[in-house]
Amino acid sequence: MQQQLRDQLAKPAIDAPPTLPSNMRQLVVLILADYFQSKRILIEWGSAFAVAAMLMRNSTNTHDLMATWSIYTVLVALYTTSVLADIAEQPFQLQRLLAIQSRRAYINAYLIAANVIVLSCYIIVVSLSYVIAPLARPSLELLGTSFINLVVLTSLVTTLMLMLTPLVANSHQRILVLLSITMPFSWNILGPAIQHFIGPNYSKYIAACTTFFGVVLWPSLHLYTTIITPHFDRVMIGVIVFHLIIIMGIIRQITIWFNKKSLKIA
Amino acid sequence: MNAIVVTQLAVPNSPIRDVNLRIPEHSCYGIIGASGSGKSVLLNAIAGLHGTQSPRIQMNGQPVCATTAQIGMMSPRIHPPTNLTVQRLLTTQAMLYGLSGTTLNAHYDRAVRWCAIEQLAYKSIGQLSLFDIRRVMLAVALINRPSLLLIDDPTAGLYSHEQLVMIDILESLRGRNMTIVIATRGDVPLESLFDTVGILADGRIISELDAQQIRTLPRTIMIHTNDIPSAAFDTIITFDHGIIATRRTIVLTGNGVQSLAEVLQILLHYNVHIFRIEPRNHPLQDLVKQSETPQTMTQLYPPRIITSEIGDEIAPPTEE
Repeated sequence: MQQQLRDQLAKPAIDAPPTLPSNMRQLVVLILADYFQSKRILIEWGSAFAVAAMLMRNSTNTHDLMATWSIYTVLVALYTTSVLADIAEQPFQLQRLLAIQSRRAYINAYLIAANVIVLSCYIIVVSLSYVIAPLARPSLELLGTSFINLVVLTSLVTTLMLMLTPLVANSHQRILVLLSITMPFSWNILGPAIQHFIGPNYSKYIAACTTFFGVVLWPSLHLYTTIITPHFDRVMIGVIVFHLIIIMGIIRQITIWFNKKSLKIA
Repeated sequence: MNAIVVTQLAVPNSPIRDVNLRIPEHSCYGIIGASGSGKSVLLNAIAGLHGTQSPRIQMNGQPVCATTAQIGMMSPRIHPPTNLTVQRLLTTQAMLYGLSGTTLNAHYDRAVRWCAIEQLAYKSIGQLSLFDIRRVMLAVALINRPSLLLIDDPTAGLYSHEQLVMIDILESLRGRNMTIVIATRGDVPLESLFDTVGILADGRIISELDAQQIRTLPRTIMIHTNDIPSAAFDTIITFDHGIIATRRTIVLTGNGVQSLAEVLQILLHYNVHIFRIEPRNHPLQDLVKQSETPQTMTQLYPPRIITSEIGDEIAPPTEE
């Protein structure tokens, strides 16, 4: 008995299948309905109107316009995901977790809901810019290509943000994830500083890190570039596939951490 | 048959350190303990919300995390969205269980009837009183007709007449083929509901009383101990008017299990040795039997470092 219990506890935290296959879809609908009825959505939609009115009015440059859309969408993705993660931790919402049983389904439902809200904001901001900045309108082909890349980028940002919320990760895990994100991005500053500190003997290691981080960052930077200057080619498809694999990896890690998480209704 | 079996449950960062529990099917089990004794943590764990601890909890022979759809949970901490109507709240919850059409209506009608909230159906949550919200949340917990109903402090914050109505509602849920677990501080007469009461103190279920023992529980209890440390003594005499205490004797009057649980929590926390509980036939005499020798006492309740208690060392147990 004792041995059995020890063996069970040594295994990774287990997850149950959802009570019904349709549960996750139902939960997404409920999350969105709650979000709309609580009028939280007004912040996102209101910001879309504000951004369109302030930054895009009478714009004449298509790429500037698309850059503004993408930056706005990334910021909305960060905000919306953090709000939804906060909601997901409320005892009332956790009653829904009891109902659908599966923690994976629960967390994925919130992820999908976040993406739907962010994309609704993107659609609003694009529609408004078509009205208020007629000279900068991109063609539908450009818009379509950009949109595909943007969906991937938004999914990446929402999954990463969800991973960084207290709902999923504890503080050690969050520091680890944040380090792994900020190190490559800040290596241009960190690298020379470290080299200055440890002396020229280790410069080849610093250079190796610089190359490694450059390679790691390249797909993401290319993805962002493709959103602003859309160009459909094999590289774009490769970059998208690469990011989809990363997203699936992050979701898997989120599920593992969330399965271990202690939640509170009472 | 046991509906719930908890084996050596220890929840990190909580008072719960070694809970073993067997709750028979279709019974009403009360968890009574002082504030901070870990009642809510235990309920959360039984609901499978402590991910890593789930294998220690079996529900009908299965790990609890695979059976959470059969669990209904109600807690004063649950605050439903204020913009929804009661009907909408209940139906959306029912839809998550895959209920629809006539089945959903049947479940809805039953939950509403059992919780006596028929007249509230079309009101929004924001218009309801605390008592109404508590009943609505009980209905939400019951909407799928769960086989296990977990209730945390059902009467907390309610007026006395509302508490009586809530007790009536809970009483009516007994005998409906559900296992009910209620965590309470014991400050209202919920004891009549329970088939068994587990007293939670020091991170463990220190004693279990059955219905017969609960009914015949003497209302005046005298506990003889060795010297009670000052901090423990000050806490004991301030938290309830029904307690008279000297440094070696505590008398509890007319408070049922609540005060006893709270006093025991404090005594165990400070490693105070209990020599005798009067009347002699009190169900908690087990505690005295368990701690006949200092060695056993140390094994049962490992000493803790209490820096504020200089000079309050544990005296050898000598019968007065």
